[in-house]
Amino acid sequence: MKSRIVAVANQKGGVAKTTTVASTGAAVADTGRKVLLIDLDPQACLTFAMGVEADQVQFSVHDVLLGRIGPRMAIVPTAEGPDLLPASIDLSGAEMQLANRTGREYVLREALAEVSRDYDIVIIDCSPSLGVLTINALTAAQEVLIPMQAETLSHRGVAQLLETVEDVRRYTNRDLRVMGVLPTMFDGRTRLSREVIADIEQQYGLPVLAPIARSVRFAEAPGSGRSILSTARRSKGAQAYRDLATVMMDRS
Amino acid sequence: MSAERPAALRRVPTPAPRPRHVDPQGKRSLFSEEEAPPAVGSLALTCDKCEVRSVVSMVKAARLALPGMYVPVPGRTDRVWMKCPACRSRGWMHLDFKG
Repeated sequence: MKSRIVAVANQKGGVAKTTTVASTGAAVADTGRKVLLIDLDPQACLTFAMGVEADQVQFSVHDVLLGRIGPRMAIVPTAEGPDLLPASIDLSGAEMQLANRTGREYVLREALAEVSRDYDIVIIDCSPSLGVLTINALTAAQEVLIPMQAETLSHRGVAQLLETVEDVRRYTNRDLRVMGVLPTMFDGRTRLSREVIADIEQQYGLPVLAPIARSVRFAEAPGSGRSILSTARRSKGAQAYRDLATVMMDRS
Repeated sequence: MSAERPAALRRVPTPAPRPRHVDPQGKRSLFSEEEAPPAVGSLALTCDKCEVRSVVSMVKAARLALPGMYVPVPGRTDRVWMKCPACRSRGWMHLDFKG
């Protein structure tokens, strides 16, 4: 059976895309499923957060996208459970290398076809920009999850991303679905947070998933190369991502 | 609609039909491919007014065309007077049919 592919995307930076990928990936792996995480951000934050040193990996997703190697050669195991297709700073050059290539949107999809039977789910951490790499992720995925901080600029980012999702449906991936918007760093005590969530539901009719509350535990976890599922197993944040993993897998 | 939104969100864009002009050297240049064709058993409708391309089922297309009297012919691209599923207004729609 082919694996399910979920892109975690929002071109707005600092909305907890990487935290969401690392934590949800670990939570799904905890249930015994095979998980592949893909770091598609040249900053390699997911790679670092999963305990892998980006400047010491032999191969990265950059080599895969340029067709130098197959994905299996670059995938590494992590202590947290999921396998990882790591990134390195070289990935910043991939945009330029792919820019004028016809069919550049399908490079990741074609690479993943080689490993699609090895995993139950593949989760892609997109870069905080709208470029060829993000289009590759949205073209390869069946669903997109949109993490969003419940504030005005993030709301605006969702509007822009949904336009891009429409473009992707139009040109490269007709079947792309929006899994939902995931409010992150949520502080339910502020009126603005509640207003943003209500406005997203009203304007777009998108499913808004259970919010992830703000916690310093999330910021502490990457330092040890583990997710919050390991560093603070009993925290509310860990439980929130277990719940998200359940929702994600129930839909498959 | 916008007057009912909270003050902090009034300048945030609402979902709207895409602008008529698409700059081929702008965001469109991220894509190297032409538009994907509609799936078997569906119709792609492109609105003359809002220029949004929507893919709908045959049944939904028939509902949007009512009370018109138009029978689509497989393999042809035509213009039909019907309601646009994106901007909800009646106008000429280009039909791309795939049987």
